[in-house]
Amino acid sequence: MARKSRPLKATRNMPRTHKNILEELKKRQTERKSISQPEIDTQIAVVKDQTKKQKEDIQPPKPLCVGTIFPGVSEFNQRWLDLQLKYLRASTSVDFHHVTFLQQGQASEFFKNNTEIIRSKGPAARNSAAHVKGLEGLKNYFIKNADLYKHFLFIDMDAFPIHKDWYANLCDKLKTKWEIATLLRPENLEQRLHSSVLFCDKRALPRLSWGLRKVGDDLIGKSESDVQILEYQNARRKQAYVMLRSNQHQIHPLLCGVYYDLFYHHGCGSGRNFNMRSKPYWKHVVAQNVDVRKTIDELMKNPNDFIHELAGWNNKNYAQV
Amino acid sequence: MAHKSQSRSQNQNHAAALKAVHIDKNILAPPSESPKINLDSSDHSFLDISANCPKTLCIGTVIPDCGELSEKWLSLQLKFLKSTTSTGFHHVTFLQKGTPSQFFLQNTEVIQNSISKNFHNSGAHAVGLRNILEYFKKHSDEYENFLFLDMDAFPIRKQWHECLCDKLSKGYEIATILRCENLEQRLHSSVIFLDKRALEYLDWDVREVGKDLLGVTEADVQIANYQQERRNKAFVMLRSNQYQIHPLLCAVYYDLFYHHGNGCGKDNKMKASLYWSHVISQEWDSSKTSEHLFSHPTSFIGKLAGWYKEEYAQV
Repeated sequence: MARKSRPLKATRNMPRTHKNILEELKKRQTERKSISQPEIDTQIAVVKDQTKKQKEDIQPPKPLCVGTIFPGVSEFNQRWLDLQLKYLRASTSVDFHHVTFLQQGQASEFFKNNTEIIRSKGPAARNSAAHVKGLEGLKNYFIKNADLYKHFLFIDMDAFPIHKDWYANLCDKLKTKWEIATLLRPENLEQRLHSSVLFCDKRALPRLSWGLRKVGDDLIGKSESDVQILEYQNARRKQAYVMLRSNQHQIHPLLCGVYYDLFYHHGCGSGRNFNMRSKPYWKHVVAQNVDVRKTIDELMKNPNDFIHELAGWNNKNYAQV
Repeated sequence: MAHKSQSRSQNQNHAAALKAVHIDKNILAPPSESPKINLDSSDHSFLDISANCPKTLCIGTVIPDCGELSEKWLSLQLKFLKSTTSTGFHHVTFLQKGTPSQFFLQNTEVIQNSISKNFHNSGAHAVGLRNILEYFKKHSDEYENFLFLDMDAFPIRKQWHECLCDKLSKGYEIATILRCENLEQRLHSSVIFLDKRALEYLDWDVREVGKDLLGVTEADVQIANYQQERRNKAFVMLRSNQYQIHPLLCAVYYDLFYHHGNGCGKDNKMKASLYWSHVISQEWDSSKTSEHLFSHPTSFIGKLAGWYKEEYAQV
């Protein structure tokens, strides 16, 4: 019943096109067809150039890129980053870019404002494996940006340059047969090159890789296994310039080390327990149960005096922060 | 000019260089397990005890001549040996040239060999060491332990002998110096402590050791068998100065021994002199430090070694 009362087909009004609108559309179509293809390309190229120029204005090429690994962004780690950046600024004679490989956690405002944060994909690693992952992450970043910088510095979060001439000194070394400059810690009975500080130029980047494996025997004939710089530990050992401990004054034979009078490396800076491999070797010299936190507090309290006392040789050449 | 001025200033202020340090030393507590001998350092009666002990230790030193400088070194070495060594010992000197003076004849057994006159520098040192080794082998039934010492080296810590005997009881056959600060990979014969087991393996020659820590060829006197084949039987003593007046000279090793370096007074440049050129002047005058050491040995050593002043010898 209801069907009969309704029409079977809906009746629609015919579309009404305004004559003026049609004319306008035709005009625009004609204009588009009249523009040649090369002109379009030029326009895009201009836009690209402007982008590159704008980028250069923000980040001009810098001679040095510095990379650090941080386990997280706690207040404790923030203090290390702050100190490292202060020393980098005060001791580095060239402009530099700083990048942080963050192992876990969200970047805090302080980190965001003071360093470029990078991360790796996949599950977080632990201990030495995490260190290898971090170093590889930084290396990949350095390789990706190799054209922007001349030199690269891998540095532990509890390490920093202290000598105003550190950059010039190490650049001089790389002008000869050496491809990298890094730490060697015989005081810890180690034969392995230690990546807490590793300075290099572009030549070395493709050859750098790290592995957690047996290095050989340490200085007292015990097996030594830890993170090593694979190619430079043996095959290219002659191309590695080593920086040795140089403290004029020591408060511990292993911790609070100055290397080659250019770098400070605290050791156990993450606040972990003091468990370095040569701990028993030095047992007649210092306590086995060192409170590393106390030494860190002492450094943070007055870094200038602390570093001057330890390094000691040429106080006028050390950075003031 | 500035460089020379800096050098002069450094040389004139060796005493001042031993400055007071201001870091709170209490931030690192002393080791509760630090081994100690119950001897009052002001009580020299232990020297008599040592003298009456059966002599279990034989010490041999190579000395170039009987000049005044050599006599000063021998005198200082003997003082420190007497003050630090808890066991009786016999001292023998291999004299490279000259006639032994009264001081030498009264304080050490002098051995000589006419062949040594034909050798110089490292070669002469190797000949001297071999001659002392022959003496040790000949008298091996009379002693338990043997110590080779450079003229400008001596023990500084009271328990040095016990400490090293302990190492030899744990599989090591010798204890010797490794001078990484001089970029060396070679074991250094300025101090070698051993027992009878090692006598048959010891020998020295002057040859290429391999590459140093910078990859440069290293050639000098080496302890033949222990540099390679028996390397894991050698316990090395590393530099341990709490305070340094030079990165290469005036060294304390493992907090047990002092080795001056360049003790003969010759102005020999050490291998790593250039390596440390940004740290210390190349014109640094080492003779000033030996004068300071001879005049104030206790305070000089106490300041350099530094970790446990009450454990160091008072001479």
